[in-house]
Amino acid sequence: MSPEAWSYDGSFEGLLALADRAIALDSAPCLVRSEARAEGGLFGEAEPAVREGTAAGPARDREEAAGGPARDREEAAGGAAARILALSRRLYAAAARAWMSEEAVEPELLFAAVQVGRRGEAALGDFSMPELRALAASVRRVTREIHRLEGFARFSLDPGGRYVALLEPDHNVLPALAPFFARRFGGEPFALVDLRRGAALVSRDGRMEARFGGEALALARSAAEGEDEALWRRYFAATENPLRRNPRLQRQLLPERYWRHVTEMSASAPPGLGAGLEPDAGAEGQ
Amino acid sequence: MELAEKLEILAAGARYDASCASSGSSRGPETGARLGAASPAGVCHSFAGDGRCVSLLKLLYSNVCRYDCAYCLNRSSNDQRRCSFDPEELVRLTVSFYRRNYVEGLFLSSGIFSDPDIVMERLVEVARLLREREGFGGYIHLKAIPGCGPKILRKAGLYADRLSANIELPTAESLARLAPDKSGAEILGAMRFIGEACAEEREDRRRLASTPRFAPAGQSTQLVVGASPEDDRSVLGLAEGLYRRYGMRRVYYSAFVPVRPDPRLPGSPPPLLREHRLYQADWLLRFYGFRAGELLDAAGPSLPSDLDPKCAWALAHPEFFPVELSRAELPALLRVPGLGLTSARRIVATRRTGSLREADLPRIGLVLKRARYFLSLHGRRLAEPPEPGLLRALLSDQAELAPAAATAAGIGAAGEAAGIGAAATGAATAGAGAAAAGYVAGAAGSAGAVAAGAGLRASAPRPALRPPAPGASQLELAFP
Repeated sequence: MSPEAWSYDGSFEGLLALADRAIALDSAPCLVRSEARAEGGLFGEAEPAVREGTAAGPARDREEAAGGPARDREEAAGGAAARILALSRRLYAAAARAWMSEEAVEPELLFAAVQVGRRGEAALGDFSMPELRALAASVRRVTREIHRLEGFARFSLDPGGRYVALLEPDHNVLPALAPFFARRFGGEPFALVDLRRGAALVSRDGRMEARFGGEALALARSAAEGEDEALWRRYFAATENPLRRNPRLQRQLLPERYWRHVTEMSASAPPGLGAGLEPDAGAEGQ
Repeated sequence: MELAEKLEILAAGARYDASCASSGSSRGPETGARLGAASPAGVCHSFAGDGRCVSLLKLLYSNVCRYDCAYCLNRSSNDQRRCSFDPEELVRLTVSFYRRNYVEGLFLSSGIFSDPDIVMERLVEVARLLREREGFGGYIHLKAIPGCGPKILRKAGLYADRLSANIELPTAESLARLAPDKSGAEILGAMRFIGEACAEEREDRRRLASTPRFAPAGQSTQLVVGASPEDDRSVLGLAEGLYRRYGMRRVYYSAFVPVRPDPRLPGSPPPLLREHRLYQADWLLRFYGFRAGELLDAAGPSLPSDLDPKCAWALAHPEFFPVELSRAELPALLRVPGLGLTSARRIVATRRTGSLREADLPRIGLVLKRARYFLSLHGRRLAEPPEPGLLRALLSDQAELAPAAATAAGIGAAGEAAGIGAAATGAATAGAGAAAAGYVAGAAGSAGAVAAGAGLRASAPRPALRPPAPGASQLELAFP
C-alpha cells in the first residue's frame, strides 16, 4: 500500500473509479477519504453526494429488471464500472457492499482490486491476507444486514396509498434494498426511510428518488397502522408452539435492535433505538 | 365468526406443520406477476417465540376434519372450535400481509372436511384467485390432499410453487394404527404424481421454453417422530428413499406433541433432541454426501444423544482420518467433524492461491476445536487424538445445544436452495429402498404397485470411504 491518501466524493461511481485507478497503477493507498463521510452529515439537505441508488451483482440485475438506472450511471462513471465488471463480478459486488459499509473499508477494497488485477478473481478467496479477510468480513456483515432487512422491513400504508417502511440500518443499505422491494411491489408505490441517516428512497414511475432530512421524516410520519397490523399480531401470536418456547433462540435470530420497527415485536422492543421520529434527529447521522 | 378469530384458530391448527421454506422458486414481473416476486433463496420474515422461522402465512383452510388421527390437534374427536375460511378472506389476508412484508406468500393446508377432491379444489381456488385475479407472484405452498384425483393435483401444481403430501408416520403399520383413515398408498401416490409431473415439466421445458411450470420449488413432506415405535434408522432410511425416489426437496421431522391422551400414543413426547439429531443427519444426507446406512446400522439404530451424527460417524471410522488439508478434495473435507461447507470451500479456495500453512487456518476462519483431531497438514496431524473416551467427551455438543434445538427446521429457507434436487433420480440404497417399499407393502394390497416398483434397486454401489481417487467426486458416488 502506498502511504498517500486518495479521496472520492462518496458516490459508488467515485469508489469504482478509485478501484479502477488502483488496478491501473497496481498500487493502493493506505487511506481513502470519503467526502460524504468526512463532512459528517451524510444526508444533510444541502448534501448532494447522496450515497443513493446503485447496487451490484444480482441486486444490480434486479435493479435493471426493475427499469433502474444502473446502466446510465455506469456510463457516467467513465467506463470504470464496466472495466471492473468485465474483470470480476465478485469484485464489483464487493465494491458495492464496501461502499454501503460504515466500517470505512475502502482501503481494503482497493487492496483487493490490486490483487484481482494481478492474480485474477481467485485472489478474493485468499484469506491468508488480512486485508482481504477484513474486506470479506465487512462485506459479509453488510450482506447479512441487507438480507435481514429484506425480511424484517415492515410497511404501513400512508393516506396516499403508498407503503412506507421505517428502518434504522447499521450500514447504508437502502440502495440495495430498493431494487429488491421494487421487484416485490411490482408497480405499486412504496418508500424506504432510513431514520438514522435522515434519508429516504421513494419509488416514482418505476425509478427510485432520494429524499433527505425533513422530507424523509415527513414520509416516515405519514404511514399509520390499521386493522391489518392488528390481524397480523394476532396471527403471529397463534403460530407459536407454547410447548417449544425458546425466547433465547428467537432473540438470536431476530435481534432486539430490529424489534422497534417489526410490527409483531414492537410492543416488546427495548427503548433506546429509533429516536428518528423526533424533529432533527435524522440530521445527526449516527 | 369474526375474521380475527378464525385467523387465530386456523393458524394454531396449522402450526404443527414444520415446513416454512419459501425457497426454490423464481417469479416476478418477468413471469407476468403484477404484485410480488419469489426468489430462489427465500426470505425469513420473522421468528416465532419458539424460534421457528416465519416465512409464509401458514393457515388451514378449515379445521373441520372427518379423520381421527391420534396425534393430530384437528382430529374429529377432539373437542375444539371449528371454522373455515372463505377463499376471498384468504386472498385478502395474503395480499395485505405480503404488501406489508410480513410474509413471502401463503402456505395453505386443510382438515379433510369433505371428499379429498373437493378439499383440494378449494385450496386450488384460493391459489387461482391469487395468481389469476390478483396477479400475485409471491410464494404459494399447497398441501396435496392424498386421495384427490390427478386432474386437480395437476392444476394445483400450475399455481403453486411447492406441493407437499405428508407421509405422517415412518411405516404403514403405524399409519394404520394411528391414522386409520389415511392410506399410505394414496400418500405415496400423490408424491409419485408430483415427482413425475415435475420431472416431465423439466423435460418438456428443454424442448419448449413456454411449457407451463409445475411446482417449481418441488415437493416436501413431513413425518411425526416419536408417536410410533420406529427407530432413527427406519426414519432416516425412509427419508433417504423419499429424497431419491420422489425428488423430495425436504423432509421435515416433527417431534410428536401430545395434544390429548390416547391409549395408542406414548404418554410423553420424545425429547426435542431426537428431532434435532434427525435434522442434523438429514443435513448430512443432503449436503455432505453421507448415506443413511453409514450413519446408522442394525448395531446402532438410534442417533447418539451426546454427539452430532457426523462426529459419531468419525469416531466409528478412525481409518478415514486424518484428512490431509493440503490435498483432500471437498467431499473428504466435508466428513471432518467441525468443518462445514463454508470452511471446506475456503480451504479449497485458499489452496488454489498457494500452499496452505498452519498459520493460515485460523485466518481463513476455521474453527479447529473439534476438527484438529481429524486433520493433518503436510503429513503432520494438527493434534493427536486422545484416548477414545476423552475424545468423545471433547466432541460432545451438549453444552452448546440449548439454543440450537429448534433451529434445524428454521434453517430451511436459505439452506435448501442449494439442495440435492439433482439427486432425485437414481437408485436408493438397499436400506432406504426396503424402508420405502415396506411402507407400502404393509398398507393396502394394491399399494405394492406404487413403491415396491422398479426404481428401488436392492443394492447400490457403496461410496468410497477413503478420500476419493483423483477426479472422482465422492458426492457423485454418494448420490449416483
